[in-house]
Amino acid sequence: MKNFEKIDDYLKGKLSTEKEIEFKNEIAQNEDLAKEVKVQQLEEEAIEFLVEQGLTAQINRVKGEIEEEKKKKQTTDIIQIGNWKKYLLLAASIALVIITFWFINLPQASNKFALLEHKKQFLLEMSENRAVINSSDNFSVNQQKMISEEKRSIKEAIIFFESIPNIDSSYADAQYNLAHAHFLNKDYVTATKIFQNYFDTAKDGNRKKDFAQYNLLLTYLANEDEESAKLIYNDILENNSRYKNNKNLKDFFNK
Amino acid sequence: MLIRRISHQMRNNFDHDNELIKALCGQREEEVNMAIAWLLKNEKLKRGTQKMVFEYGGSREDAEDVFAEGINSLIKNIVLRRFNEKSMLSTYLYSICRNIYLSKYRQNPLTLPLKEAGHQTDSNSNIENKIIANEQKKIQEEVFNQFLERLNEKCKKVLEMQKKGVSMADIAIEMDWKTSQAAKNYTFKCRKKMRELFLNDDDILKILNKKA
Repeated sequence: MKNFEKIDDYLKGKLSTEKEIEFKNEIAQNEDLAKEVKVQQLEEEAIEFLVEQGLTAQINRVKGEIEEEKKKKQTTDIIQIGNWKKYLLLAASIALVIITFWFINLPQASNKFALLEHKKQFLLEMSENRAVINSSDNFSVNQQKMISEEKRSIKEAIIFFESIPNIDSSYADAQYNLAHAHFLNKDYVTATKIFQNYFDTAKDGNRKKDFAQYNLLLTYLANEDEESAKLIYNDILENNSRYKNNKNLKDFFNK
Repeated sequence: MLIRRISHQMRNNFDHDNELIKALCGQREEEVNMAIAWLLKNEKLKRGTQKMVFEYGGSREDAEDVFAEGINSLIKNIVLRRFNEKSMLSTYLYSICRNIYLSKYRQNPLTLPLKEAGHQTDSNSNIENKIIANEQKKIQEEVFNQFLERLNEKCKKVLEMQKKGVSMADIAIEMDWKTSQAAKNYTFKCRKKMRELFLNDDDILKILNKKA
């Protein structure tokens, strides 16, 4: 390896142009030198191959890390998307329930009309009994409970009025108030039965009979039974002088 | 994990070619890995290769393969000081990728790229010569693989560093030697060992005999 340094300079292009030409001539004339150059050149190629191998391994390691990072990110994204979907589904379900509940409880036009009219009617009827309302007897107290519109109070009133036996003189009034209480408690089916029964049993000319018919119409409307309410209205137009000219009823049924 | 440390630094790195070259040729593995990752993830460079491949009628998969191969060659050429820094790295990569793509397709006349349609193709003998050259290169690489296993790890490390242009002083530091002369002496010792093994290796001698 006596020519190692010179050959190294030659192979790496470190020789000046002049020295390079000189060395090339030397190679051409010296077989051993030529062989040595060939061997050293191949050694350089082998070392280059070694470096390239190392680089390939390093590049592949980095590629592997990048792929791993991508997979982890994808997994995280999928989990996040998955969670996001779950939460969205849950939110949508809750929203649907709320909307359905709201929709169900949304007063429809007839129901809204009925509730409004009933309130007016009920307060009107109560105001006519002011002397009774101001009393402290149980009947009056429970009527007062109904006026409060508190759910618990209304239920208490229902219990009270239900307790009045039919042999009692106040049974009819109790039943009438019970109908109102059931209406206020949104039990329109029971309210309908009681108002109907009161109407059927009350004497003609009794103002409460008129009230009962009107309240019966309102109860059907509150229950969104416009067909039945219309039948009642037709009867009111013919037979109920108190309400046949009622503007609100006219406007409602002639819309 | 090396990528974790890399990713938060990647945003503003390698704005200039010389920064990338410096990192790739550096001795710190972390820095080299950072530079490699930056290149592999560089969408702008990838798009340039894709555009070229598509212009030649290649597919997205071809573009991916060509880009990966191109990056490999680019890194090796930079580390082995084959890149003369006269052009921009992006231009250099583009020409590497183009050569890779064209040489792949030029071997098979049936799959000529659209852009080359109408141009005269390589003669059959040229194609044959290229195939032979490729085969010889593969054989040579196999021989080198086996040969290098006979060198010890320390020698291989020193020879690698020297090939990458690391100074003797830095080699000494890396190998924990006291002086750069110690590094020089050991390097020469490795070369001597290598020469002995070379001249006693039949496969190596066959290759030597085939070379002009």
